Amino acid sequence: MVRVFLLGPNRWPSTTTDPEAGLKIRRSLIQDNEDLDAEWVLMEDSKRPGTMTAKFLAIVKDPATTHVFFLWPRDCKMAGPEDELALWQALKELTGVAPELYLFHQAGVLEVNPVRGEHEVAILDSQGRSPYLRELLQYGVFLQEWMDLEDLRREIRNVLRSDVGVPVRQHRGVVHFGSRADESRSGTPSG
Amino acid sequence: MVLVMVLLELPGRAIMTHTLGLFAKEKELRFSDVKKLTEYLDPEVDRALKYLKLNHFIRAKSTKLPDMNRTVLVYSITARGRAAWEAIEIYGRAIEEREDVLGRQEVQEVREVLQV
Repeated sequence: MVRVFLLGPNRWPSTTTDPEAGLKIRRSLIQDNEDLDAEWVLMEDSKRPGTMTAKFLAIVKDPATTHVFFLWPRDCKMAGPEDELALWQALKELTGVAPELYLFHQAGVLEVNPVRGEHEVAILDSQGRSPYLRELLQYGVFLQEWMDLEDLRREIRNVLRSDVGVPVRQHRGVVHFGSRADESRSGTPSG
Repeated sequence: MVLVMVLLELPGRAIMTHTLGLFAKEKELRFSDVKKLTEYLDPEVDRALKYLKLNHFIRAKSTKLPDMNRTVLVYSITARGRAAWEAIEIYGRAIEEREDVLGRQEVQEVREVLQV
């Protein structure tokens, strides 16, 4: 069973007036994929007593948590989520074992270029960010780009279905109408 | 057979299927590994990897090269990519078994396209 710990900023660049826009987006992403055989965890829903650090570590150290999905919109303030990434890095550094981290980065956050016979990757959206964040990619992170919110919805589902191989939940006598069909982008990349 | 058709509709499809076949056999490959194994040109490798990634046949993970200050991507096959490759292999075997009806040349052409 796949269990995804879904992280991201609460303030979303396009809806800065709503302090919980990011949380609403994360909840809606979970709702989009409720037909899949996966469990979801949000920090905000954790009932564990103690500090936020203790809560975070309890979730990522739980062997049942198989993946961390991190949403990174371009030019977004995200002090708390940056700290969470640093904690994930610390866990990987100290133990060598951590849930697989998928970085869902909006176009413009990272760049991938063929340089000296390899696909080099670098963080572009690093101004004002923690120096620890700039080291994140060295720890082995799966990368998935998205353009806008609709694309993010598609790519979350595509990663779950195609990359991770999460099956559709087997319903027993209950029929859900209007569930989203899997979608993939096709076409050839430019360049 | 949508997965296979996506690949077969492509220009340069032999490169795509050849590259996908490499990932079905190897755990992880970098750009330079694909280039060594195929001897394709850099733009061909770049295009194949980006296309396969865009369509979730492979996934990309960052990694730091040992002894070098470079962070690069390493690719591996996804569940979707493996399913597509298995379908391609089955198709390749099936047409080979009916070479008597389809004819040697036609079977050879399909094998070249599919790289099986």
